[in-house]
Amino acid sequence: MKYLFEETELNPVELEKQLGLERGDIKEITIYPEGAVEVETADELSSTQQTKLKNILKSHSLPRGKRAMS
Amino acid sequence: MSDLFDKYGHPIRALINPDCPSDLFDKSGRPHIVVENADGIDLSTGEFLAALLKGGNLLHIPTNAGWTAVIAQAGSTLQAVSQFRVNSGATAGGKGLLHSLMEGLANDIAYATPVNLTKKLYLIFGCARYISVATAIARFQLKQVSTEGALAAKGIGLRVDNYALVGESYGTELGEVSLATSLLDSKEAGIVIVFDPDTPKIEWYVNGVLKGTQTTAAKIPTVSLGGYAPLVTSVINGATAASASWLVMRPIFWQER
Repeated sequence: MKYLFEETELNPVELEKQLGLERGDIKEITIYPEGAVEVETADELSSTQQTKLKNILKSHSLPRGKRAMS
Repeated sequence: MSDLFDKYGHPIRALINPDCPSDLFDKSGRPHIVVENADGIDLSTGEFLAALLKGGNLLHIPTNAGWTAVIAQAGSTLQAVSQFRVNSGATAGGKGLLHSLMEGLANDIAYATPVNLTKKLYLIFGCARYISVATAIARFQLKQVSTEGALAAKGIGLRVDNYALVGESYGTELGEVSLATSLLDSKEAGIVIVFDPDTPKIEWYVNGVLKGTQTTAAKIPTVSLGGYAPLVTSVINGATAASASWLVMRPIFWQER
């Protein structure tokens, strides 16, 4: 038997689901080569949503490092 | 006709393979070239490679490191050792994009001006599209911004409208050259983009055959790409909720030194 353990895909549609947002609320995700992450939203997130977002990114081992030139 | 003979008047055919007349010309009808050293002696294979490397900067572009991934909707990206793949995802408006800066390639201008457009440049790569999506647009571009979309400032590249190949360039206005070629689903096509600033012209070869040439000066970039010159591969699916994939394989950059 083989057991595969992995996170769900990290994309705007999945993030919207996990954060309980409407479709289109997350416009774009940018993942820099060093591991920094930028999430562009249509509207401002509440502090609870921001914390939840940070935890989702952590489950993907992100963010890490500092954004360099790109 | 002089190209048929070396500088000593020897037929080049004899220097290539006297038993194989077809070797006299390549499949595009151009005479083969024999490379000699200063003493007129044919270069060995090893020396020939050294001469090519000495004449320019050759970069086999890494596809699995140093790329920034940008995704919209259910898009995704994949970086592997021999290729990178971007997917639009199956949600309308989806996008997958990877970009990385092209720096340290120009010998005789400032480091901060990464791509010198006064020197001949080759961009060589394999590419393929996977899954037909009528509204999908894929691109591979060397340009001045890292965002998805048609060239709107200096740059060169390849656009694929679903499967149809189009050569893109921008000097002071956008140039589009139909390459009259459609990719077959999941089949690789070999692309060579030749940027020749002396003529000036840009040529697009598909599987070794010249398929398009841009000679309008306003559509050919000049001088340099300025201080920010990313290489960008991208795919979008537009209004269609279906997943289109775009693969770029073994990209190579060569520029005259």
